[in-house]
Amino acid sequence: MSHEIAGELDYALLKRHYDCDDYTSLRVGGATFLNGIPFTVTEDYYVVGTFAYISDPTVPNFERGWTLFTHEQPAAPAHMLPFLAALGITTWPAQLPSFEAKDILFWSDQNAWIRFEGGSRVQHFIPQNTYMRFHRRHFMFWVQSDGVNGVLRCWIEG
Amino acid sequence: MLGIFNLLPYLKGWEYKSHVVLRTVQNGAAPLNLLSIDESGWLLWEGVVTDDAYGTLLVRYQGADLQTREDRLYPEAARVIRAFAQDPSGWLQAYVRPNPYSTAGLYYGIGFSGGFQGSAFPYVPTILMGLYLDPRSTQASATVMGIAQVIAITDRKLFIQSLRRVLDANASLKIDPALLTIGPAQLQEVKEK
Repeated sequence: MSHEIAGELDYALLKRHYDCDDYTSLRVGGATFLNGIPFTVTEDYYVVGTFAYISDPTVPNFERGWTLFTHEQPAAPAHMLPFLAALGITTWPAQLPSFEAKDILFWSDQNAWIRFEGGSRVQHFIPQNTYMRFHRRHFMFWVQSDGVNGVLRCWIEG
Repeated sequence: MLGIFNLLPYLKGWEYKSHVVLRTVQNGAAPLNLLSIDESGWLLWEGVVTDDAYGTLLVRYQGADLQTREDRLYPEAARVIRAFAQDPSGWLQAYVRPNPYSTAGLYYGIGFSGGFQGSAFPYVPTILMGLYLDPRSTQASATVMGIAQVIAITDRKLFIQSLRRVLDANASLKIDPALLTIGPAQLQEVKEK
């Protein structure tokens, strides 16, 4: 990784060469337990970097943009609950290791609604089987079905 | 134009000094006054290294009539006015803040007097340095290091005498005692020739 910084301009970031990546999957020993966020009509949230951290707890690096993000949610995301229960984790930390997403690509197998940052922000419609890219900088996004449950896949860079 | 600052290499009775303070400070607490020095000279530059955008260095120094001037230096103030890595008068050399919702990070800001261009802030006789964490910080506490790089006059009499000799090889070395006092003073009247 190289950085060329002059006058506080980081040219790698300027050219959208990012240091951090995340994908909403859980794979252990070559087996896939999760490939995308399962969503329902009950809105659920995801903190950017969660699965990258679970995959490799050594990945957070301050100089590459990792930080502790306070999500202000009372409970863990619903799609995480089975895995947390399997691991015997009963408390959900108030702060999670995270990085700021700057490029995110969505794909969903059913119509879905997403929104960034806050639970009352405007919802964007994600049509099923369609790739949707955003450059909205964010630490957390929310997903909700349009009536039919599905899975939302998210390729994240930041 | 050649000023007294540029003559310093030829003068006696002064030296460079670095005054450094380092503490962990609590959010919203009153400034920790950590250093108080009776000293005259020039303030060349002041700097703050901190892990919070609101970690603040407070520097107070006095002028010839003992009025106090106060500088407060914290990284966020420089960012707001986009004072990034300017020379000589500005200031923010490092601003690493990975999370915009948190003020935690790594910061280095400096306040230049323009000393390298031939001018510096004079101070007489006291320099006070304090540290605090502004309540706008999202952290409960932060580590702040403050630096003041000064040119201190360590021997007032020798300094004046050497200045006279540099300017005039035959200059009298007699010194009006008022020049050696601190604060307002009455100089001796000299009869016109």
